[in-house]
Amino acid sequence: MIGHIITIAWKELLHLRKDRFLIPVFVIGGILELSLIAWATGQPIDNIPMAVVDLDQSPQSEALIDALDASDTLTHKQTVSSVDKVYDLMQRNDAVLGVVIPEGYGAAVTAGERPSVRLISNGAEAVQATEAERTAQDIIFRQGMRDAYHMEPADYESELPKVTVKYNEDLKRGWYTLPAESGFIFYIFTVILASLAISRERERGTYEQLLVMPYRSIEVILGKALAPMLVGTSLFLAMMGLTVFAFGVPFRGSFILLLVIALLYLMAEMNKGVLMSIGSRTQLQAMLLVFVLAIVDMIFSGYAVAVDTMPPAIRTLSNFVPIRHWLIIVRGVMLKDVGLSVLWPHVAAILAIGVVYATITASQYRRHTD
Amino acid sequence: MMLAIARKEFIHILRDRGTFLLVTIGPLFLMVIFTYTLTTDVKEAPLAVIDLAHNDASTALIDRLDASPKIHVERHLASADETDNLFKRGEVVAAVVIPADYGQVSLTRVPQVEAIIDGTEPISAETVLTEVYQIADAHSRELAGDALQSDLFEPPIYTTQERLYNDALSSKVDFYPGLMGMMLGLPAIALSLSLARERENGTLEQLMATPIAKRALLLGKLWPYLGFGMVDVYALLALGQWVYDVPFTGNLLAYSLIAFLFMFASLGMGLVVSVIARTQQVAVVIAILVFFIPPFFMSGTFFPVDAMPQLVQLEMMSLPATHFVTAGKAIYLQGTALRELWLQVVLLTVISVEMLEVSTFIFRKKVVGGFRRPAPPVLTTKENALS
Repeated sequence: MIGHIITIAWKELLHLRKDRFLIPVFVIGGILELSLIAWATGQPIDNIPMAVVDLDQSPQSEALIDALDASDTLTHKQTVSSVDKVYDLMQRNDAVLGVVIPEGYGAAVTAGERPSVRLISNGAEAVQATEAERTAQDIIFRQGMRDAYHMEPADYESELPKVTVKYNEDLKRGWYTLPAESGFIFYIFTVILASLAISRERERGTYEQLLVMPYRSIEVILGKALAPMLVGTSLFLAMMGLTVFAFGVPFRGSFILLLVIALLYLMAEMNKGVLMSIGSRTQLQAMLLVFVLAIVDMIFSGYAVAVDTMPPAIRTLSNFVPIRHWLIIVRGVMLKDVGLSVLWPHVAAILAIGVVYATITASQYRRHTD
Repeated sequence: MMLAIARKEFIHILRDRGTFLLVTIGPLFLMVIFTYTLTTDVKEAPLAVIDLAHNDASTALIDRLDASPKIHVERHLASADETDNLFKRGEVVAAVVIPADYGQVSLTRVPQVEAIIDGTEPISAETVLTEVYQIADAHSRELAGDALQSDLFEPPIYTTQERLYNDALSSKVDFYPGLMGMMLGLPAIALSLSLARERENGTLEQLMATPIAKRALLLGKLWPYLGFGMVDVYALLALGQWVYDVPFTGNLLAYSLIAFLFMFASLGMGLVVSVIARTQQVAVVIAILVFFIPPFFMSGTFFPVDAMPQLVQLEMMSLPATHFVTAGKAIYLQGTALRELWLQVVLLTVISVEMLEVSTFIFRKKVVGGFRRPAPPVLTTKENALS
């Protein structure tokens, strides 16, 4: 039996080597994609354009503007003379935050009379606006403490709520996205390969030959699965290496554990690919099916956005998508050093989904001769 | 001539179920799923509270935390030791430790809570962090003010907030116009498949045997997809307006123009992809990499382009989706006039023309199929050695 499986797997690998386009596209495309995303998400939201209306023109108001400009988050783009001009800038997307300093601001703040600064934010850029509002409020508070009470942050820090962030101390978006992206790349390429395995034979008319061979269906399926598994595992290692060594995402947990779970996960996804392959008549159909499912996966999985923020029905559905469990596992192991004692429900879920796919695949294999 | 090709392609789209779905229902279906799942608005994030004070002040604070729509108190713990475990299990995203002397305010000391946030999901963590901080800060100021009968604890400068276009800073409103750029990439994917399919099926040779010019052939292939794409544009706008409460505030004509140019540009890119790719599979892979994934991250939909490195920004400029998202969003949400967006109009036009030229240039009206090229000798000998 082993011999049969290896023969089929060898034949599949030969197919892959003959295909001079698919593998380079996978490898180069994957690396390119990961690098792009690392670049794009590697930085906090910076340089948010800010417009200022200074109706006071006092040393205090200038100090406030300087303080706002000094932060990395905000960049003082323009000074305008009236609030209407701020609206104008917002409409042209030249400003995300508008700061209006009222007349008499300087005198009021020194006298401890608590002036009111008006913040106008551009809701069309909700992500930036949220960040800008938060930063501006913080800076205005600190500047007020300085001007009104001559207090520096060290003097009152202990009087403010203390916030500690764990696991991703600087809230880097890349640390969230990159493990997911690398997982996504190795998974989607594996599924594409798997899905082509049988539809290719069908398209070329060699499927019948496979069926009349003295091989059992399980041997053919396993053999067909082995080649994508090999490719998938190497992609996994490559992507992980890039994520950790090139893009600096920490790896705090056990690598062996992650590798073992990765193999289980690949197996589950691959069964899905082979099943799709059996279900489709041409390679193209299989590929499109994979594409649609990949999008569904991407959405249900918390790939870009946390599953917790989704509607309850979708959260429940997402449990049936293996990649969702994989993402919890990979983020847990990499960032939080989580062990099997916590992760076992997710590992069990991946196994269960894999078994269901495998059962359906095995039962469908022979029925589909046209 | 071009019309004949267009008519043939139109009939093809209607008859091929997969392509038909891809250019009609596809964008709408994806949009529905995306809007439901891609919102980053945090609702009722689970929180653990470690109340060491057990007094009126701490109870009031817990009530106030729980009352916020963004967070809710999921667990009450006796000590902070357990929080690590809860974080690892993902049961809570933040823990708030209320010190034993909370509420016992003096002029020299205001006891403060300590919040620990799980940063694994940075976007929601940031929202939770801000929310917890603001609630705790405001509450302690009130406590201190009440206890000492003084306004010394008020912030030294008040701020008033005004939000334009999207009062709740809802991510859905922000994303919707950007997502349109992704959805409208689907016709381009369908187009890249179409030409590769002709090649694979051998019908491209028949087309080549006709006296039709290269450009007319490519353009003829493009128009039907553009037509379906424009129908998608209006369907998506209707969906946003009436189902998802993302009000369209701009000029419909201006939006149509931008959408038209964008579709033309990305379909042009689709042509280039399908000319380069020899088989449909390759076309699909490239098309996904080009049309779907980069706009998702790069077009300012999820990560603002301003914050990206210059190199990436430059690269983004070559993608039509970037300009469509910029201009389309401005018209859609902010009602910006078209003359303010002349740069995007020009760039989209340039990309359109350029893509059409490039695809015409590299498209050879000769029969040179990938199948007929002899394999390099190295491969052949290895092949023999292996077998």
